[in-house]
Amino acid sequence: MDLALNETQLMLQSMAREFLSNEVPKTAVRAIDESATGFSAELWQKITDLGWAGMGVAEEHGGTGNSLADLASVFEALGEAACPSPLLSQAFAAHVIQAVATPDQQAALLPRIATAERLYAVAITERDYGWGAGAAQMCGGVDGDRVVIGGTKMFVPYAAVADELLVLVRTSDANESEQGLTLARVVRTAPGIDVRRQRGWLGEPVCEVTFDEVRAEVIGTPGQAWPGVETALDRTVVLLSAFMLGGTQAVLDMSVEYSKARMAFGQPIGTFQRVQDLIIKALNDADAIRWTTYEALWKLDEGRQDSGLAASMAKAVASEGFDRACENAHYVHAGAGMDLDYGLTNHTKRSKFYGHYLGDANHHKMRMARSLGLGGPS
Amino acid sequence: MDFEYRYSAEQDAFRREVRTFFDARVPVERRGPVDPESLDDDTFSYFREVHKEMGARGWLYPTYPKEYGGGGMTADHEMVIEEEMARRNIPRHFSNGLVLPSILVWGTEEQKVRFLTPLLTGQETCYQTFSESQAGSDLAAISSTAVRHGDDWVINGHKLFITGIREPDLMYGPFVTQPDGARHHNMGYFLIPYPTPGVTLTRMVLLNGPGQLFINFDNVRVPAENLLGGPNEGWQVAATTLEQEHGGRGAAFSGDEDTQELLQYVRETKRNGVAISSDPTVRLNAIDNYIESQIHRLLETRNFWMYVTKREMTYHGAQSALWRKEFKVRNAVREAAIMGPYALLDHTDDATVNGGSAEVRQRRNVAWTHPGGTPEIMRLIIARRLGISRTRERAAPTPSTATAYTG
Repeated sequence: MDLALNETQLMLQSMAREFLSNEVPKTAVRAIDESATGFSAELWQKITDLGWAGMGVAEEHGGTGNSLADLASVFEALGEAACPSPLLSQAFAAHVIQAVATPDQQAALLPRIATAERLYAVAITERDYGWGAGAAQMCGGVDGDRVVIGGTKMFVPYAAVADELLVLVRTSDANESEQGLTLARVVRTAPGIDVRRQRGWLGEPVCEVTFDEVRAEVIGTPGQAWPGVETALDRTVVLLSAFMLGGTQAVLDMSVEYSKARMAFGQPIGTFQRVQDLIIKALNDADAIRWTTYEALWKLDEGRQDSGLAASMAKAVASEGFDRACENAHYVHAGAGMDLDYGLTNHTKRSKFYGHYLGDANHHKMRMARSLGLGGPS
Repeated sequence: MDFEYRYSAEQDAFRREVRTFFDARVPVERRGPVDPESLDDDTFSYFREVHKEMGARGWLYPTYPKEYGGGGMTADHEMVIEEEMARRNIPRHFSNGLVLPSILVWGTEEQKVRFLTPLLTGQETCYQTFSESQAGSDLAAISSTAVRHGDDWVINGHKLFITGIREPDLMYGPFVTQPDGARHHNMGYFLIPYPTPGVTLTRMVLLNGPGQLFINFDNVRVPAENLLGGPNEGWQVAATTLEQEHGGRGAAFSGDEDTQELLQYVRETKRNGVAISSDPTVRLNAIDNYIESQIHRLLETRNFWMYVTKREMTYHGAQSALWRKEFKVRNAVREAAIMGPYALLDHTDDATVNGGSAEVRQRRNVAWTHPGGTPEIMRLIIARRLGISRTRERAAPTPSTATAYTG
């Protein structure tokens, strides 16, 4: 038993922290969030120069073949900085391709992902919304190694700036919603694709993508995409939990520091037990997310049979905990926290969207219930 | 990262030895009842003898030094013993071992031999006498006194909510030695044999059962060598005990029987011909219990890892204690939401489920938030250790950080 990050992970994390404190101060976060695309090509170039896009890709395909826990140590640092970047989107694509694509397709596509020569967006959920197999209703007709797709995907991060899209479509009717799903790959500028950035209090630049008779490449075996997509979701969900852990720890640290510095009634507000209670709740949330996430990473890297259960638990705990920690941090900060330049709201906004993205707490609890033999629909 | 505790070949061999002992010594029909606070006399005596035999082997307190009657073994051995006891549901904690680190850290050589050895070998049991009717969370507010008379100290006052299911051989706790002294520097920590003239035990009947005592001290004389630490150092000695009590050392192995039992209930139970698991609120409640219990397991695992690797612990012990106290209450509420009034039927009712274990949890999980410090006290400690309190303090010396103890 050794619960510490290893030397590689500590080094990656400290490098990431140093890079982010120089390149992505809280003012830069806000500027990127509020830009037209929500994306900084300059920052993405610097991130990819660090090799982070290739960490989750095997060496034979141009990556560095790091463990998921290695990659997560970077995501934790990204979360601390509330860093806006498509790295999660790119990692999701790498996971999907590695779990679904044929060996030839992996050889062709993974090097582009690893070097970030192409930026990828993964489109799963739709207007009716959900993160199970049943949420993919958009239809496609398979024609050899091509599939013609039509319909609308929603809440697709970075679709407006991605080079290519990976789209989950239903290509045959089946009794079970997990069957008949096919993964399609298409260049984002292909004829028939319309991308609209969705507006609101969103922690990611998410898009609605409409496909009108779009010819795409079939990735992997037609109709058999779901098990691989589910595997990729498990891996991506835990990276997202690591990001949310970083965010939770950041708002906790901000609250502790603020409570020491802010004076009221002649004393630091941290000496008031009602303020302490708020901070202790955030501490418990941060540690609950930390240890459920770390254990899930370890189980996924080890290939444990119950790693899906652990991944869903990490995301359920992160979805509830990050949101609640931000709420409590706002109570500690009161007016100061609402100032958009202060930095707290960079995290709060992300806690709201990421709480839902890739499945909210209840989605993952229901998935855990199935995994533990309590039944329930898939 | 590696979350798996990997047993060594030495542990595997030791486990065989432990299993052989328990298999021969504790037949299946002797394994513990649902409520360990309500042991009948026969069961108590039986396991008291088992404990003595374990003590003779150094298995009661495996990591304590052999020279004082401990096992001289490692935490690895201790874990094997704990696992095998839990697997057989063997009742434990007839004696409150929280004094042991205090004796190791603060005791003189003579005191270690005189007091530590009988406790470590299981020949004697001891109870912790801290709380008074006007001093619970605020332990420094105790008013029971110890006054020096020649070679003796004379003790007067009372203690209550003293955990112990029979009668002890020894009691330990702080008593005021200097009524006009400064707070935290006005008490001594005494080791009081039982029986001693003037000590009266009265059983309290409480929500969680009959497991706690009211103890009266009426001109009780104890010799001067029964004072642990200096006459005004009782608070500091008690702090070493409390650090243990507040969850300082964690556990690599924490059973999850309550949650497993509930999950099985949800899998098996039908009402009016319909599986209760088809109700999503039932599944959500069951999974919330599972998650909270898993978080507790992980916090305990973290503490265990920090303890054995000698990392400096700050808020960690109090945090896992707080979580344990509160999640068990929340889980009991959700369990009742799933089971309905069946959660309230006790082991004597014909229609009871799982031997009435849920009914015990409904009462006990509320009652058990108090012993060892209320949740509010745990929050107080966490806030101090986060550095946001008016009071600044570090953790008291514990065996993981105290130089007096290397085992």
